Amino acid sequence: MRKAWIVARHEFLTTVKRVWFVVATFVLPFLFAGIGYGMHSVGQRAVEESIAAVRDKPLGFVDHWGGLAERPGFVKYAAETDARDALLAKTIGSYLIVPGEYLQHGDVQVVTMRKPTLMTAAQPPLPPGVRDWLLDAVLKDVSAERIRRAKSPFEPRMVFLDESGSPSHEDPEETAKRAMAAYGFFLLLFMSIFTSSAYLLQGMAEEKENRVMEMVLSSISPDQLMLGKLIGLGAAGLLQMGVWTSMSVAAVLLSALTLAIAPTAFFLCFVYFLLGYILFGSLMLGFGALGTNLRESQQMASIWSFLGASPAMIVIALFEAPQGTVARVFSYIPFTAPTTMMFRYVIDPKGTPVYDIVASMLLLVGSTWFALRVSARLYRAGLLLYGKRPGIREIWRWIANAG
Amino acid sequence: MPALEVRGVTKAYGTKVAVDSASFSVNRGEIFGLLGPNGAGKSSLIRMVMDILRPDSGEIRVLDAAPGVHERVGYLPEERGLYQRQRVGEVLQFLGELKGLPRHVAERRVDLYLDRVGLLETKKKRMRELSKGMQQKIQIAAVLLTEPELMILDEPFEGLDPVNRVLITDLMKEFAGKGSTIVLSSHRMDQVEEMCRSVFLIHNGKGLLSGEVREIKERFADNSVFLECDRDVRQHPAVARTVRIWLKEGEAPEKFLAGLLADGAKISRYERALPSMDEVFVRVVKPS
Repeated sequence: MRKAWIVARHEFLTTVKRVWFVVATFVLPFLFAGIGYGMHSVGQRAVEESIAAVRDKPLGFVDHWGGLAERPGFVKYAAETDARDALLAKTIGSYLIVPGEYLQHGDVQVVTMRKPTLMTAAQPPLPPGVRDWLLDAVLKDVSAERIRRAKSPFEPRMVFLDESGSPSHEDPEETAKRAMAAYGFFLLLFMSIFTSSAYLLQGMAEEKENRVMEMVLSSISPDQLMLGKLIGLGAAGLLQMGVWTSMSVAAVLLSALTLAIAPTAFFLCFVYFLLGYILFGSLMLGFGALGTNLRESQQMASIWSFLGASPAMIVIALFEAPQGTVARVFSYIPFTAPTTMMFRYVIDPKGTPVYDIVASMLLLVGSTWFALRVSARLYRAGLLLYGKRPGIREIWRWIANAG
Repeated sequence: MPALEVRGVTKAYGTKVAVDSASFSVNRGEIFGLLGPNGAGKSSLIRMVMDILRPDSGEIRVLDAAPGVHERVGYLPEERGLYQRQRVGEVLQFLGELKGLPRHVAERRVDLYLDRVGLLETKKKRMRELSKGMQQKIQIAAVLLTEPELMILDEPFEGLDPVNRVLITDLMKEFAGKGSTIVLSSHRMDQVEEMCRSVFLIHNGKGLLSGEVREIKERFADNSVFLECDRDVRQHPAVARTVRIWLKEGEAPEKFLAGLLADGAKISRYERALPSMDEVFVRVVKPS
């Protein structure tokens, strides 16, 4: 065990001193946050500009129906050709053609020169107030109170009951915040597990490429070497996760957001990180050892990254139904359990059954134990493979022998 | 008790037999040569000694124990390299500690053996900044710094220039003088025969010869002498050829020398010619 600790210390120190580790730990979060904020701001501004080009100009209309009243900022044209000329001359931003049968089918043509885009296609290029203006015209003979109610038929006040029938005072704003936090934990866990596993894979491939393995194996058994690597890089991963978590908490505090995340969430995050990291890390080491260089090792190990990333494909389902069937199934699959369970717990801490957490952890522990056994066997067999890649049958024989 | 004992060891990869019933033993404190051309089975044999490969049959005893991770055994593999991104001192420190040296001892030995191989100034350099020859010497320093009882060195002179070859040879002799046992594997017969007392010669996985170098050479010696004297002896009735003097069968070198002296020849060199290990190897292998 002492030698495993020597390897662990060596791996930890070597990794944390790497320039890319420092960059990934301290700079990458700012870079991601900056890019995310930048993309959001630029997108918003582009949408605003696109809409403003239409909205800030008068609206033209051609009223074949005959029921529309004139109002400031709305220019009435007798003929469609006049409205078209005004649009081409850019004196108006857009114009409506209200047909004679408007009351029967409600079709109103909106003519504009603005091109539809991904972000604005769904928004008609109209200035504010058009809806109310049409509603006033349609309900001309109805009382002002009814018109007001028609414009805003109801103000929903949500009352959520929990399992016992008591109101739970669910705050939609709080729910949205928790959804963001759940997504944050999801990303944090995913990034931490796979960054650490990638370091493991890279280190092992480098050792194989540098031909240093045989010398090392004369001093330590493959099992101890693997254990040392898992511990050392796991510690580096924990350090990285700790820094990212601290940065996220600081960002939340600095932005004066109030976000109530139970301390249990951090504890669960720690446990799921450890289990997930050992599961994926050992599999990546075992299967990565079968490659003869880094590229081949990455190819061999990519299946596990794909499995680990698969909860990203059901993230909408997780948002909408954190306790739904899909979410629960993904919680019981060891490869998807860490990120899925974290997501479920953070977004809905009270609704997540304890037995789901316990069951997912037990399944994870069991499969991690099995993965360690299989991977240790593959690691031992693959470490000294130079220049030739084993066939599927050979790999299967090694795995079968691990049982 | 021998430092290393190999008894009837066989290893096959699929249908290819890499080592076929190899047997030899290495006495403590000697420099032993494992000889054979490339692909003869030397590295497979060494990997079995180091427990990196398991033999299909036979038995190996290393320092009177089964093969395994031995802290008293130093190993320089044929497939070797070092952590290229890391600094020389850090790599040696790590390898030393992994061999069981306490941290402070490893620190001291790193400096000592870097100095012995003439590379102390590279301690803070990254491995990739060093030439291939320098890295080779660092690897040898990594083996030496644990001051092992048994050293197994697979092609240790590969990539070294003559000056460094002498440096490493002297270090090995020094270690052997202090009681370390050294197993030297090489395909260069000339390098091994000058250092080793005993050898095991392997070809196509089979052990062809085993024993003391002197004894083997005597066994394969032909009836020839090296002679330098003040007259042309080519017409002498005992001489069959002249380049190196091969005596006729049954002619004793002592009798030939006595005859020359009786004729009043002034002799500056008279030496019984023994075959080189290269010659022995060719003679052993050729008939097959």
